[in-house]
Amino acid sequence: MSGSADSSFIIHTSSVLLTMPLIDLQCHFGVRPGALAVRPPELAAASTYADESGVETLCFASDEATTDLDGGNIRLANALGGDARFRGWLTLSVHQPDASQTIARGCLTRSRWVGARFDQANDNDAVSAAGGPTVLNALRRYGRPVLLTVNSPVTLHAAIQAAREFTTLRFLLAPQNEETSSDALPAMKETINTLLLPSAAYSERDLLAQAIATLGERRVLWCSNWGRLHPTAALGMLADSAVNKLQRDRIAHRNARDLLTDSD
Amino acid sequence: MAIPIFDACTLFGPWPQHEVDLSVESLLANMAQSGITRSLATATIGIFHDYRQGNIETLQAAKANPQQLFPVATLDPRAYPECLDEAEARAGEGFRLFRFFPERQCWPIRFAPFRELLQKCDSLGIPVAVTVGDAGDISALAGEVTFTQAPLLLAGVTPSNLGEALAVMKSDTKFYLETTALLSPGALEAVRDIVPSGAERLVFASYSPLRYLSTALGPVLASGLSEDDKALVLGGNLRRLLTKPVTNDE
Repeated sequence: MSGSADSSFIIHTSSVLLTMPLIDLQCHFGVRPGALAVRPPELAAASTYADESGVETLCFASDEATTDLDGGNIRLANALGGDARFRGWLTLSVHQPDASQTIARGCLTRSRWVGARFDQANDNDAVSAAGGPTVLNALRRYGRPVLLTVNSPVTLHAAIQAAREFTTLRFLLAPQNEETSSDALPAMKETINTLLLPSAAYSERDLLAQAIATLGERRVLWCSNWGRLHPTAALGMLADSAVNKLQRDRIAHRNARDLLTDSD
Repeated sequence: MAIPIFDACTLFGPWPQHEVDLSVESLLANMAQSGITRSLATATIGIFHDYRQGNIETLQAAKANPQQLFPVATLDPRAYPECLDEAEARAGEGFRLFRFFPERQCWPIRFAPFRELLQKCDSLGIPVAVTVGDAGDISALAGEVTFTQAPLLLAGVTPSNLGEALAVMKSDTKFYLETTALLSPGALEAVRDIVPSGAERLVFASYSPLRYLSTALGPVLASGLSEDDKALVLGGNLRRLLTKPVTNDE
């Protein structure tokens, strides 16, 4: 292969991105049980990615913590010390409300942690489940954002209902399939304390432009899902979107900076 | 000289899930913007509504844009036995590949009409592409095509079922793999390293303009594959696959 094809792509994306600071709001630490055929990259590679792509802050979540609440979060906390740009999402569970509140008390006053994350992997994990409101109620005192993955109409609805009930919290909704990505926009529209955190793996074109048209440019965020996805996938989504330079800057940096600043 | 990228899957037509511009004009503009010189195109109406109508529209679009678009037919085994005649007719019209969408059309891989249709495609010497997104799909498909020879392209494989794809590809050289959803770091390298002639069996497919083209292209260009291997993935393998004579000694 000649180098020309590579170069044309780099020029295509770099014209948009190289001058742009980035805040990567969701990266993944450790093994992902659903994709064991591919080993996750070493954390040192995240620093290299940050250096090369101009990423100011990388916010990691631990898949292990969805199974081992204590151990997973502790191992993530230890890993976060490796680079001053690393911060973490504290994984909590609606199925373990007491343990979740204890862990939140010990962590969410520390700047290392961005906020709380709930993996709504299936309908049984919806934040509307028995322990969900209890944990969310306890999170109000920290004022940190809450990241919710959404996999289905049920978990999307639960996320919206939670945002309507706990209006002082900001909820980042991270769709985990194409249908939910598309359905999230009209569902989120009127609930102004919800923000969209789309994944390049589940975003059809042009979700970013549609999100800005529906939610406004202050409610759309960006992440690479580093650890699960090659970051060029999410950078490509940003580059290909029909949004203007200011909107792109808001998605990639300013909205996240405001979110992180407000929660510190 | 820039390498001509040959895209194994692009789409045009209506998309029922949400509003998106999938016009032929949008497809061509998208290709031009990203340096895609040729693509295999399929009409979405054939996926969601009537495969015969879709194949007519695909042929029209390809005839109107012969330098950029090669026609790919959709076949729907629910239309048995008529689908067998459709396969034969479309092969005679120059369709280069047949695509199957079992998950969109809600039929199982283990499906008697599909088995017979696969044998028909094989007898015609036309490669087929099948979406295999769920655990067990690839194994089931491998069981259905034990005795066929034509190349078979696995579509919709993600890191979640990559292990299953690797196992099948190791034991049967007629299987190829689309790169579209293999966005994890190390996924393409795993195929190269684990599967015999692995880099020669990866095929770039963007599904643009439905999906972001750069999202599909970036992980290939940034992968640890050699420059020669990237050239194969981005066009060389597909070109060879479409011209490969089907022989019984494969």
